[in-house]
Amino acid sequence: MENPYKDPPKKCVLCGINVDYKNVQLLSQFVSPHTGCIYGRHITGLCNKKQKEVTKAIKRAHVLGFMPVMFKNPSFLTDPKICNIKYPE
Amino acid sequence: MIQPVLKRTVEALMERGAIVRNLENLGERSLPYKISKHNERHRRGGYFLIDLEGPPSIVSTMMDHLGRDIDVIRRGFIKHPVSKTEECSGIIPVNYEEKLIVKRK
Repeated sequence: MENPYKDPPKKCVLCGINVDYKNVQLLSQFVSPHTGCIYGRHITGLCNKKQKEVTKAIKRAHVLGFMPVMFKNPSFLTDPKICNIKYPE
Repeated sequence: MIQPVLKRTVEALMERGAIVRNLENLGERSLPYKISKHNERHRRGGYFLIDLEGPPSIVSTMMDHLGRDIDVIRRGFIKHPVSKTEECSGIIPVNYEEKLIVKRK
């Protein structure tokens, strides 16, 4: 008999949101502001599929000239933090 | 200034037998990095998205054609994105012990 009190499966931040290479603001939230590196799965906390989609979209945006490569767009620096990363003070 | 470029591109596409469904203007903004193309260093550019349907043999000929056009800074062909986000079931907890045992074969 299945456990009726089971919690529904945990959803990651992007579960249900369509990831597009065109919305640079969403993609910039998963990129480091100092170097422009893409954060890994242990930092972003996304599921397999979404992490792969985000990485592919970021690389595409780099090539097509939508998103800067070596840094994060300064107008998106004050966006809410999704990734659990601590910067050294 | 920009209209003849679009006109030329769409005409070239129609010549090769592609059906243009939609043409979107994503605005004119400053590029994220300076792009040097055709002996010029560009800082601002207009972004356009053309929705088209056509045979796959067009891709290489069109990339060639757009590469020779001076007004086109960067070109690219992308498959039409199929959005299927309604089936996302969330993070399924992975049983690592079973995975290890199975791989030993």
